[in-house]
Amino acid sequence: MIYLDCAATTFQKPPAVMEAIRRASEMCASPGRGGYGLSLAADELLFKTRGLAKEMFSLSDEKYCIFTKSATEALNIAIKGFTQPEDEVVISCLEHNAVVRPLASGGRRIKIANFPPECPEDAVIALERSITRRTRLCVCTAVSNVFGTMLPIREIGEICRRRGIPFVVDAAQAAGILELSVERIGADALCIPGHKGLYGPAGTGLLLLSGERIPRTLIEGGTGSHSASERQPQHLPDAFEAGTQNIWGIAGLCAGIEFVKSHPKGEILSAEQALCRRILDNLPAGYTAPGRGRDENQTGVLALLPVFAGCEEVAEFLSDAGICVRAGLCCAPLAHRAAHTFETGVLRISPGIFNTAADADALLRALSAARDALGG
Amino acid sequence: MNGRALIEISTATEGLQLRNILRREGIWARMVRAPRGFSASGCTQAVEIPHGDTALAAEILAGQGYAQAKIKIT
Repeated sequence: MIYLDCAATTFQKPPAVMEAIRRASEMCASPGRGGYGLSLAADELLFKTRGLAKEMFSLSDEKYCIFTKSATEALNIAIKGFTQPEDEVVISCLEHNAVVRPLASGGRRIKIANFPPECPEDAVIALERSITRRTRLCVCTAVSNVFGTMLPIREIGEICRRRGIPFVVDAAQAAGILELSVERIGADALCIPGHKGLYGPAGTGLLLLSGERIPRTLIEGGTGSHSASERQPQHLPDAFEAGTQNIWGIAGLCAGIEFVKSHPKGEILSAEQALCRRILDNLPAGYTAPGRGRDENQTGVLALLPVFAGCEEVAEFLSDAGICVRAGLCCAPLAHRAAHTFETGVLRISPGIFNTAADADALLRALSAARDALGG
Repeated sequence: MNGRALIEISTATEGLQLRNILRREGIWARMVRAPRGFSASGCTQAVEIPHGDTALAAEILAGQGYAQAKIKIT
């Protein structure tokens, strides 16, 4: 089996991640709930993980690292916690449904900043033009989950700072791949999945706050602290962590972050970019690469469009050949409208650190075979 | 002097931060279960230090912006 769907989840995990989960299952109980060893060990594990996140994403304090079950949950907290229903929110045209749906469900007015996906530098001016006096929030992805386009989030953060608007960054496809600093981006919140570029297990995520603005809480409940009060404690991170944390998952996430940190800066990105470049350089006839810009603006996510058959048919052919890729709209209809691929979807190839040039070559052979078999 | 002093904390995260600060300064601090009613913030945990290190701990915590009243002799 060749797995090339790391933009969905990094299926192959480092052995240390699975070992950390096993160890946590034997050594950690509910954190913040007691003075006995099993509970304190859980606290230590959470604190260590917060510390790693603080270092990796330049947080000012461990308390600004909030554990969530996904980037989607983190985005929901940030979006709903920074705005009220009917507020105007500006987003880029490359946003995922994890951004669009929380906005739409609350009746917020969405203003989409449009630009061609292959020209991410145009995002800055497009977003700036979309912001009005009524805008209460700006949400922008750091990297398109469909096309791998890197957006200039530092420049966009600078605009938001100047206009006094909270800025939320969806870092689902960027964390662990790109250097991200909450401080340098000027983000109020960075929303991160644990199971993608950080190589942790599914069911983990991070909401990272700058601390300058704190969103309202989305859910309330037991935190193991301030138990006499009916009110949610205001102290961070407890305010956002009602209910027992996914301690086994966070143990795996901790090991995943350590795995990423063990690689020299930029190595994972370069390896994934090189595989995409290899695929593009040898792409058989019958495929195009919509939405793709200059290499320096692209991560290791590659969208292909077969011209001889539907992308779902080709994905099924590849699946039968033992190759896992994503086909369709990839939960980002806005991005497809921007790239004019809404009617077709794309075949998304997203390698990870465990993929090799041999995997890319096997994909290329299978793409040729698919064209020969399905092309009529 | 024998015995212990407890430092009041708001969250486990704050407790572990304080513990690490104190350990870096050579004070053997550790997280423990707080006695019932100990913490005005309601946190179920506290940081324990040797009684004899109370004054030094207070000085260190003051340097970090924490009030001396957080340390209670038990």
